[in-house]
Amino acid sequence: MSSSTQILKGILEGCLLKIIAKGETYGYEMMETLHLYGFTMVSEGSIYPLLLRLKKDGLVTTSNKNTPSGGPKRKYYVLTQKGQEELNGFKENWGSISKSVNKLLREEGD
Amino acid sequence: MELSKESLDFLDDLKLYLISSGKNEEEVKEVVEELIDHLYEAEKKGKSVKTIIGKTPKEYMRAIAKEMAFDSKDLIKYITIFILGAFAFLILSNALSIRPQISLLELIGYPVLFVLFLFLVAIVFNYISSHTLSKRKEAFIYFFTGCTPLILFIGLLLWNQSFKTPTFHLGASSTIASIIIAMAIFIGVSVWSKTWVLIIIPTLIYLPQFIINHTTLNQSMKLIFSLSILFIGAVLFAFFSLLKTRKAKKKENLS
Repeated sequence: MSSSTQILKGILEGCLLKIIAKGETYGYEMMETLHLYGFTMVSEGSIYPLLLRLKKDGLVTTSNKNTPSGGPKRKYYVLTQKGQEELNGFKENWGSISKSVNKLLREEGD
Repeated sequence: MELSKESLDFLDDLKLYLISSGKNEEEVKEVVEELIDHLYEAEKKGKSVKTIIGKTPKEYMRAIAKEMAFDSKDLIKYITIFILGAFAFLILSNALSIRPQISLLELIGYPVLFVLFLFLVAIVFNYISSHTLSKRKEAFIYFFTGCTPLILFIGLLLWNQSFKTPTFHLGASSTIASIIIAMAIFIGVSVWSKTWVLIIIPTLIYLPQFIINHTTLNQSMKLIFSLSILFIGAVLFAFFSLLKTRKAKKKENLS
């Protein structure tokens, strides 16, 4: 796997935590939100292995509910306390990383 | 709205791949249900399964499998049940034979062969579900897999004839005890797995044989009758199983 894919995976995990932190949500809705924010390079199905990992690490909990449209049952995600702490850590790390990267790239562009 | 055939095939392959990779059945069901919901929403907007998974099906299945724990508890449970089932078949066929006896090699060899066959089936399912194969190639793999236990059993039979190991002769009371133990295993496993397979198959194999052996027909007629009943029974069983699976699938798609 290329390093850019690995980086994107790490970023995506943080972004998914942020989306879930906004309120109970499900896979398709999360994907729509990601696309809305410009993550069009992410294929839709790629969030599910990441969601599995978030659940395995105890960062989210899930529950199955009936859909209003009468379609198949839907799995909803909620952030746990551990997930919130992880999100806070991600925000902090991303803040310092993006600041440094932007600073360096801006200098390069001069 | 129903899912497209392409999506249903992908979900079937994914289910088979994850189960044959030793993942927990409940977790597999959960993952598949979540993808059904996604594909259902995506197809309403005209998207195809290819655009959703983004990679080759094999790569995507691997990515999902990587995040799921290997369920050794389930595997041990299935192997135990499989060995018990194999053991029950072995003692029942011996108990119903004219001179009930079993060698040490048979006693160990048959259950080992059953487990080896179980692993082979898992490997084959794993391979077929994650590769796009022509119908011809797929049929060849199934044929080869189907032939393997037969070849192994013949091998063991020949080995048993040339290599003598201690043989246990069953008396009248041990024969009856063997039949009761075998039947208890078949019933126990059927109740546990909530299927009739392990009651239907031994009934099809042994009951006609047992009844026909007690008639006055000559040997060749006995063989023809018991094989015909076995064959017709197997075809009917396969037909009704297929009908049941299709009905269940249809119901699942509608729900």
